This record gives sequence, structure tokens and C-alpha cells, in this order.
Amino acid sequence: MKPKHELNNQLKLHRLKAGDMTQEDLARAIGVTRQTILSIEKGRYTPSVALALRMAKVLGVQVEDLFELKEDDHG
Amino acid sequence: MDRIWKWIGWQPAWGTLAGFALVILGFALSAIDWGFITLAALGTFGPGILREMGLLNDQDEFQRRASRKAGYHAYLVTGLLAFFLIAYYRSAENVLEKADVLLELFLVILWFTWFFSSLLDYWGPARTVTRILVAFGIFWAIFNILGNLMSPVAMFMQTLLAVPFFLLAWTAKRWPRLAGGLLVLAACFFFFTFDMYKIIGPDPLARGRGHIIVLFFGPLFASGILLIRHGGRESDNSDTLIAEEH
Repeated sequence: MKPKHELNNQLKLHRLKAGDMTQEDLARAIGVTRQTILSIEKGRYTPSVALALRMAKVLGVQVEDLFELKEDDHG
Repeated sequence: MDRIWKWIGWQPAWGTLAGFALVILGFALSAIDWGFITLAALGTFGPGILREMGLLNDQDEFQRRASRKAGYHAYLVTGLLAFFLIAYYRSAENVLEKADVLLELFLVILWFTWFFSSLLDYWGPARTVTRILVAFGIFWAIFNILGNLMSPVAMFMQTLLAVPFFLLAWTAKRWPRLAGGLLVLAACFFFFTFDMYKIIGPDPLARGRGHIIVLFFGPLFASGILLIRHGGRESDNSDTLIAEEH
């Protein structure tokens, strides 16, 4: 059985903090489609480490500011 | 063009679009000669093969993951069906008279599973189901309007049959599990109403019956199961996500 972890995702918050950046702007800045940003924000997709790092760099924050592990409910 | 993709909520990679165009062209030209159906094969599998060979790099990582996941789902569903059919034909001494019909069925299942899985990745369960139901409703309405142009009363009455689809779409947003249960019931109802159960019988793969199952029963049943399983999850703007540890 695969262990599951819940992540807190603050991407949208930091995107808006970074000068009201749109999903399209962020997508263009890191070289992905807007759909990818939308899916990450909606929690349907967990980005790769490389993409998470690129997002953090563009938004001027740490990766941990964008994503953080919640308490593991499964022990 | 960007606006259209934004509205649809799915921006396919250009290789996928080119593949789709080839599929349409292949089927259109197959009216002249069935050899042209190979164009549809190139359109369906060509972009994926080129991507796997590293010769086409038109997808970002989310699109790549969605494609691979959809392909895996198609493999699971089609493979499972293949084994059931082998068991059926070999154990019951049923003779398969038209192998091409069976092959067509496999292709339809392959496409349907790939497409449904892709929609799920791009739209999430609630939105996928809502849009499928609205599409069903619109399709049903247009079908009945065009089929009853000479009889306004029949047109009106039969077009009313599209209303349950819109009602279910509305219900899916508010009470997803209730809508899911209703959808499964509706799918089962159609399964018997349209004699779909006869796919297992003396004439198992009569032309068209398998396609009806895949394209009619399949979306409704799969949508119902999805709603029951996911409920309202992912339908809101929640900033919580589930990550699986690989």
C-alpha cells in the first residue's frame, strides 16, 4: 500500500503576492502550460522538484513556502 | 486561440492536435479506401512513439504525466477485456465471425479510456462529469430536434429527455454522491433498455453494439463511479493536495 501524504499548497497565495501574477504569467515564466499551474493550484498535480524550484525562484520564495507536508495521518 | 483553450480548460500539445487531425483524415479517407485508416493509426500512436524516442518534445511535465497515465489506463482496461474475450470465445466454443468488429471495439475502448482519463487529469472528477453530462444533454437534444423536424410535438417531447442530463449535471455539483448513484442506476437502466447485455450471447459483437456500450454506458457508468468515489473533492478551490509517495 502506498503511503499518502497531504501537502499544503500555497502557490496561489504567493503568485498573487508576487504582484498579482496570473497563472499565464507564471506558466510562461517557468516554461509550462497554464493548465499545469491550474492543476498544481487545484491539487491535482504534484510538480517535480525541478519545477517546484523554478516556481519558487520566479516567485522569490523557498519551495517550503509553496509546499509543506501536513501531519501524516497514517502514522 | 488561447482563449478557446482557456475556455475548454485543456490545451493539448501540438503533436496531439496533429495526431487528432490525422485520425479524422484517416477515417474520412477510409470511405475511399480502408488503407487510409493507417493514417488514424499514425495519428493515434505516432506522437507518443516520437515522444518516447525523444524526437518530439512538445509537452510539459504535467501533460507528459497525463499522457502516460491515460495510456496506462487504456492498457489496463483493454488488456482486461482482451483476456475476458479470449476466455469467452475459447471456453464456450463461440465462433468469432467478424474479427474486424472486435478489433474496432478494442480501438473504441482504447480511445475512450485514454480520453476519459485525460479529461480527468485536466479537469478533475466533478468538472469532467458535469461537462460529460452537459455534452450528453446537448447531443441528445440536437439528435432529437434533427430527427423530428416534421413533428414539433414529438420534437418537444423527445427533447425533454435531454433534461435529466442537465439536471444530473446540476446535481453533480451540489450532491455529487447522490448524482453518482443516479448515474450508475441510469447507466444500468440503459444497459438493459438498449439490450446492451446481449453483447454476451449468440451474437456478441453485432456491429455497433459494442460501440454503444463504450460510448453511452461507459461515460455514464464511469462518471457515476467517479462521483461516488470522489464526492465533492477537488470541485472547490481547496489548496490542499494529495501526493502519493513513489
